[in-house]
Amino acid sequence: MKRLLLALGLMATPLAAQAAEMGTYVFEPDSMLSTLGIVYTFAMVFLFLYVGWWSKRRTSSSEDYFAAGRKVGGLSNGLAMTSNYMSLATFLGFTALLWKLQYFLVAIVLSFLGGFVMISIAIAPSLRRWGKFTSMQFIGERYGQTAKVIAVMCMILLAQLYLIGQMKGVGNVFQVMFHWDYTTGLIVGGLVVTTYVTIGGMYGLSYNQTLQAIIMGIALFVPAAIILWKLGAGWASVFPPFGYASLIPEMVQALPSYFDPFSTVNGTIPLTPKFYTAIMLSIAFGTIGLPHIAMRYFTAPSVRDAKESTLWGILFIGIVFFTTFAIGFAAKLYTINELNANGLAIAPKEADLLVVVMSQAFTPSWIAALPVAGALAAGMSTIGGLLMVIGTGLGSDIYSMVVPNATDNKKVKAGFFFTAFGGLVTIVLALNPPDFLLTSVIWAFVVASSTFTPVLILGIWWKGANKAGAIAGMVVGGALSIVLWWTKGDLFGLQLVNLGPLGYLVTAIFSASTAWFVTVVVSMLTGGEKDEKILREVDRIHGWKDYHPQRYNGKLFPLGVAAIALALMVWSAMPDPAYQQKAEVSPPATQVTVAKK
Amino acid sequence: MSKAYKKECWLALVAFGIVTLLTHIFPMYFLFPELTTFTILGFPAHYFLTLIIGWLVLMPVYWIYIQVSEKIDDEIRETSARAVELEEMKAYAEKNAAPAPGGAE
Repeated sequence: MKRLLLALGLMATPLAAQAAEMGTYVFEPDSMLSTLGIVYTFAMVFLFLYVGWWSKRRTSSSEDYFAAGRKVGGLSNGLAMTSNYMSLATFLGFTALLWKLQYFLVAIVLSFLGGFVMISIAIAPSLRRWGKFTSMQFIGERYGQTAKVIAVMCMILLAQLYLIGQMKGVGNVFQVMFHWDYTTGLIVGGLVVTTYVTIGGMYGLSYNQTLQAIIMGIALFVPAAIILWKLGAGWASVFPPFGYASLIPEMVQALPSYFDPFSTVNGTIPLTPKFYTAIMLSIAFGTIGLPHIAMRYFTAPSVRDAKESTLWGILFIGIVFFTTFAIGFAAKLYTINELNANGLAIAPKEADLLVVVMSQAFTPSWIAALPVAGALAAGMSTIGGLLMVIGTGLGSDIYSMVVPNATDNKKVKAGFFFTAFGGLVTIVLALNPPDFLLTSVIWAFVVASSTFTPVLILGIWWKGANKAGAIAGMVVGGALSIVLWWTKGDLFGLQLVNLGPLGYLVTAIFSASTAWFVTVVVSMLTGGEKDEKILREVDRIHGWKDYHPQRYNGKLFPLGVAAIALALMVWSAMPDPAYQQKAEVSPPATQVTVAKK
Repeated sequence: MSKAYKKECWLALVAFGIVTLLTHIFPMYFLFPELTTFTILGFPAHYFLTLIIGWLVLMPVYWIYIQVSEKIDDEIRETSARAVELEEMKAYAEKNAAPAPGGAE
C-alpha cells in the first residue's frame, strides 16, 4: 500500500488538491502520456490505412470484397473475431461497469462469451455451408424478399445503436487524452476507420482486426500485470486474469458486497434467478443474432476452420475479458482506499477512463500510453465490423434485389459506396449524440435477440418455419424490443418485465420470447413451408446431398420452443417480491444506471 | 431417419445446453448458497468457479464438440453419398427396365 501511496503522490498531488475543492476526482493525462499516446495512435492509424490499401490489391471479386475470398484461417479469424467482438465499451466500459455494478458484470460478460460459442453450434456451420455473405441474405433466401428487407432494417437499427456509441467513444478518447475538440477527434477517428474498411473490404478488415486484437491484448495485459505487481499481488500478477487473489481480503474488508452474486450496485439492487435468465436471453441470445459477428464465419475456408477460429476466440476473448476484471478490481480498490478515503469521488465520466488512470498512476509513460492505442484499436475494430455489415447488407443484399442483373464489379462498387456512406452517416449522427449511448450497446443485443436469433435458428433447424412466421416474429419482436426499452417494460399499463430498476437492460426476456412464440405459432397456423426448393436447401446446409422431407420437420422442437417461450413471457410479467420489497429503498433507475452520462 | 441425422440433432441440443449451463451457472448459487461462503486459491469460490467453468472448462468442452461434430459431418457425407448413389442406381435401373419407346409393338 505504501507503493500505491507513493505512486499516487507522484501522479496526483496537484490534481488531488484541485479536485478536493470540487469533491470530485479529475483525471488529467500528463504531457508525456499525451505525446506518446499521439505517437502510438498515429503509428497505429498509418498501419491500419496501409493494410487497407495493401488489401485492396487482393480484391478482385465480390467474394473477395465481402468475404475475404473465404481464406481467413483459424488463428487469424479467432483473433479477428476477438477484436470484432471486443469494442471500446469492453476495453474502457467494462472497467467502469465493474467499478459500479461489481459481480453483476461477471454475469453479463460470461453471457457474452456463451453467446459467442452458441453461434458456432446453432447457426455458423449451416450459414458457412450455405455460402453467401450475411445473415440477411440467408433470411432473404429462406423466407423471401420482404423478410430480407425487414432484416436489413433491423440490422441498420442495431448497427447504429452499436456504432454511435463506439464513434462517440473514439471522439471522447481523442478529446480527453490529446485535448482535441470532440468534433475533430470524432471526424478524424471516424474517417480513418471508414477509409480503411471501404478500400480494403473484408480482406483489409480481417487483417486489421487481427492486428487490433494483438494490440488490444498487449495494451491491457502489460499494464495490468504491472499495476497488480505494484499493488503487492506478487508473482501471480504475471497472469492478470487470476493475478489478484492476495488482494481480495483487502477488498472484502473495504467493500463486502464486491463479490456478492445476489445483489449489485454496492448491494442496493437484488439479483434473482429471473434476472440471470433475462441476462441469458438478452446477451447470449442477442450475440447469436448479431450480423457482424456471424459475418466472420463466412470468411473461413471450411466449416472446420470456422469452428477452430471459435476455439481461438474463446481463449483470446477470455484473456481480454478477465484482464479487464483485474484492472477493474484494482481500480475499485484504488478508489475506495485512496480517493474515497481522501474525500474524492469518481464521476461516471472518469470511471470510463479508469484503465488509463490506473496505468498513469502505476506504470511508466511508454506503457501507460498503450491503453490509449488499445482503446482506439478496440473501437475501430468494432466500427469496422459494423460498417462492413452495413456495406454488405446494402451493397450486396439490397442492391442485388434492386438490380438483379448487376455484374460482380458493380456489386463491389456498391459495397464500396455503401460502406463509405454508412461511415459518414454514423459520424454525422455521433456529432450530437443522445445520452443513452453505452446502454445502447446492450440495447442492440436485445434487438438482435428479438429479431434475428429466432428466425435464424428456426430457419436452420425447423423446415416448418415460413415467410409469414418469420415476418411476424421479426416485426413483433423488433417493435417490443424498442417499446419495452423506452417504457422500462411497461406496455399499455401492463408491466411485462418485472425485474426492478435495472430490468430495462434485459427486456429480451419478454420481447425475444414473444418473437420465438409468434414465429412458431404463425408458421404453424399458415401451414408451414411448402416450397420444396427451400426445404431441399435446409437439408443441404446441414451437409446432406440427398433430400428427405421428414428431416428437421418434427413437431416436438417447435412446440417445445413455443411452450418455453410462453412460460418465459408469463414469468417475466409476474411480480417479483425481491423488487417489490426493495422498491422503497432502492435508488431510482436514473441514479444507478452507470452508462447514462 | 438415419442415425447421423439423430446424432446431429442431439449433439446440437446437448452442446447448446452444456454451453448455456457452463456460461450461466449463477442460479446454482441460489440453490447452493454455501458455495459463496468459502474460497478457492484465494478467490471467493463462486467467483472463481464462475470464471473457471465459464472460460477454462468451456475450451476443452468446445474442443470435444469440434471432434464429435466433425465425425458426425463425415457420417452425414457418407450416408447421403450412399443415398444419392442408390437413387442414381434406382433411376438407372428403372430407365433400363422401361420398354423402349415404340418397342412394345
